[in-house]
Amino acid sequence: MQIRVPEDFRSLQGSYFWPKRNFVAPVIHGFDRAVDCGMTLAIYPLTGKCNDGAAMMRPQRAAPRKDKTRQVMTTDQNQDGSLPNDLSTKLVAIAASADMVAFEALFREFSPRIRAYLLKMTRDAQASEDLMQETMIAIWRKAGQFDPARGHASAWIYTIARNIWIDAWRRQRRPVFDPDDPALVADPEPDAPKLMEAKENSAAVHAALKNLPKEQVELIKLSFFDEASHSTIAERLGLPIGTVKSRIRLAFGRLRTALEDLK
Amino acid sequence: MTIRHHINDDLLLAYASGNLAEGWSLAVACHLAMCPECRRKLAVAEATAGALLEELPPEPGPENSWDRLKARLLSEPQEAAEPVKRPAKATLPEPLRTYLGGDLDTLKWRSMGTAKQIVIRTNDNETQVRLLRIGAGTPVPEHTHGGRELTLVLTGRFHDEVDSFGPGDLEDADGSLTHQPVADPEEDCICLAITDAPLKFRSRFMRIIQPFLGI
Repeated sequence: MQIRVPEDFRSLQGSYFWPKRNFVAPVIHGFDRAVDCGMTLAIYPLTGKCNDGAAMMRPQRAAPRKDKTRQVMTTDQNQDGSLPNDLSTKLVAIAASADMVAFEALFREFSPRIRAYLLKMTRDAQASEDLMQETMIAIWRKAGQFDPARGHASAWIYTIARNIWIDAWRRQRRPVFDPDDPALVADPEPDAPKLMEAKENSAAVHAALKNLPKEQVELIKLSFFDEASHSTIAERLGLPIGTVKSRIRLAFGRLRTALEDLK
Repeated sequence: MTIRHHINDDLLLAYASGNLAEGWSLAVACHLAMCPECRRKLAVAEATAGALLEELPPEPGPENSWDRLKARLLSEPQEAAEPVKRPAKATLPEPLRTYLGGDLDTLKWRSMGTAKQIVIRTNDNETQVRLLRIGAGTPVPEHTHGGRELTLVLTGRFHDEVDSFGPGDLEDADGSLTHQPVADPEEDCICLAITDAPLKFRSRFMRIIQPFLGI
């Protein structure tokens, strides 16, 4: 068994207090997802207030997962990780123990891509940097809400960046369903999209994209990474709008079939 | 509940990419709450966007980008987000309850002939969003399509000359469709109706004659 104290907490712990006196509340979790290599105890303050009035944001703690077989690796095992494939692991580590090391690694690896996406959507360098920062803050705070069983880490990050863009740039709200809403109609086959490890899923999407004709991938890219309507895209490509729409539908349909065939 | 009228791919991709205005998005989000099949389609669309995001060429930013972020994390007071409070039971799905400020039993309807309505405000200026309660067996009022209209049935049913729509069904009608939808006789039909916002004229004269011109 190993005990890990998040780096930034170690340097600050003397100044934390709760509620008014020096008090550290150890929160032990991970027992329900211990893996053979040992378990991680994360200790962090329940409220992040410092004596000087400053406070540290802390990500929401992940709800204990029922799936005992899912392996949760500690960041020590992922020092090399520059592949987007371990995004999911990093997010889980960030949620479980306010892991600043994992968060910095995620930042170095992924923030230039988030910035690239936001630059495409805003065509404004300063705005793309600012919105990227907002996105990373949101990722830090919401890491506990990320559930590998509900989707890919990169898809989750995409939705956060997109929603921040909608909110800050378009100044509109983003209506979303609540997966835990009592009025939600539950999936009669919860296993229907077979819950593969996020890694494999992401690899499957990459593979499916590789098998599509290049111009179809381009059109899908344009519909995701361009603040332009289909009619603008059609104009730019010199194609009738009907053609653009039907090509996008075709490409998306093929992607879906390719992914369903895997299951 | 068997849903027969789903979100088409154009609409789903526009919603997934964030390019759909808030009003239309509300109808899409409510259909998603009622339709597991379309939720799976959305998951594929967002997984695709995520994979494409991974493939985007990295855009270098200012050198102090990480330091700036870290400084913010260490200095900005920020309570962890409050856990979401959910009722044990609900009739209308989220996000609609949030937009309305409550569930079906708390709503204040405004009468409009045989129907009642509630206008829902959004931050886009291209749509008009209304919750309609159409009396059992009576026709849907004010039904002239100037442009696109999305109608999501929440409770009850309505039918027109060609088709029938029940809970969760999303009708996507453009200006070319002329029909007279009527609520089924068994019960009132409650639906969410999104239309293009009516043209707003500056001239008082134009505003007065607008209803007669049908624009």
